[in-house]
Amino acid sequence: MKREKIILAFIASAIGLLVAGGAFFIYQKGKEIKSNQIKNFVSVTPTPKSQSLFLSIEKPRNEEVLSSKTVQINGKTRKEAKLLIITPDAEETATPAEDGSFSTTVTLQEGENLVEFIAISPNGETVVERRTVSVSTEDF
Amino acid sequence: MTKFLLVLFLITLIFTDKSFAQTKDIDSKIDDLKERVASRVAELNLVEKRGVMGTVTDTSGNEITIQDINGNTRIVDVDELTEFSSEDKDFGISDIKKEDELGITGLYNKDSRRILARFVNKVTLHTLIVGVVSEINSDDFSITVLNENKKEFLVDVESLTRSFSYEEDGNLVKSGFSKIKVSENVVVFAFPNASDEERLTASKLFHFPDIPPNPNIPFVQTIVPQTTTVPSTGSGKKLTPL
Repeated sequence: MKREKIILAFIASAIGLLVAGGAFFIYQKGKEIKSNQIKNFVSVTPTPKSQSLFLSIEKPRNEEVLSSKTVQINGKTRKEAKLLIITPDAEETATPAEDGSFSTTVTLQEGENLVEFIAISPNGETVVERRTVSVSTEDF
Repeated sequence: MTKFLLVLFLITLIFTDKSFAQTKDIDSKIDDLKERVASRVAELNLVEKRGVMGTVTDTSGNEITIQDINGNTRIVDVDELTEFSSEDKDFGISDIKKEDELGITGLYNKDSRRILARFVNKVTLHTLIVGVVSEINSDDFSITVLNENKKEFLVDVESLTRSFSYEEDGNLVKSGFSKIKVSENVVVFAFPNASDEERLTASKLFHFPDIPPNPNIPFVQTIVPQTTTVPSTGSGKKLTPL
């Protein structure tokens, strides 16, 4: 009698495990995403909705101290805008790409430099950005 | 047997104690190192190299207050390691006065928002004027520029002024006073005129002949155009409005 009880308990446990395993398998299967349901998400830099002119300079940062006189400039504006970049020693123009981004290289002086960025749109709107960029090879 | 077990127990106790002491020592060293690294990282994150330019608004003791190029107030500390330079040979903290223009490079503390100056240079900052030409005076080679804040600037264009025209293709072409037209957008780099406070002298001038005047400037077309084309019948007879 006791032996029968043990066998029955074992069988009941086995059936219980099987049912639980089956339920878990079905639950997991339900969470699977088919390949045709997967969408590619691309991170997009937000562009101002307004049509008014804007100018953002990513590089160099304002008040940045660099060790090299040759400085890479990166920024973004409206694609139709004209750009003027003025350093103590030079005047540069830049043309934005289709997405409005622009990039150029300028040479600065040792010490503090005032770098001015002017964007002008075809309707005459103007935006100015002034930055202090320093060049120092001193260790402090 | 009892003796053997007792000896074994004592040996185990001694080694365990020694090993525990060593572990404690190593832990303490690691903790100390961790603290030092954390302190150094915090220090490095809190302080960074920065350079600012601006006009002195106040000085007291070892502190200089400046208004930077974007109009922000900055507080600068100087100490015995600060180096001063100017066109004048002797230049130090005691020579700095209100309205002086300085370029400062040093260590900026993100917490206190103060700069500990390492280099202080006396500089000359220009005035940047962005606006529209509202008047041209050919007699004294001056132009009046109106900006978005309705402020007018009387600017002398001299032979030393570097003038450029921003062409439609994006190139800068050398230009001159005679090429500047009323209602053109201009960007002028100017310095105060030593003999006349109301006038400025242009060091650089950029004008944009292919672009209409800035719509944000309350530009009133009351100015007499420079060149007026009178319509003609073709026979040479000028047509004048009734």
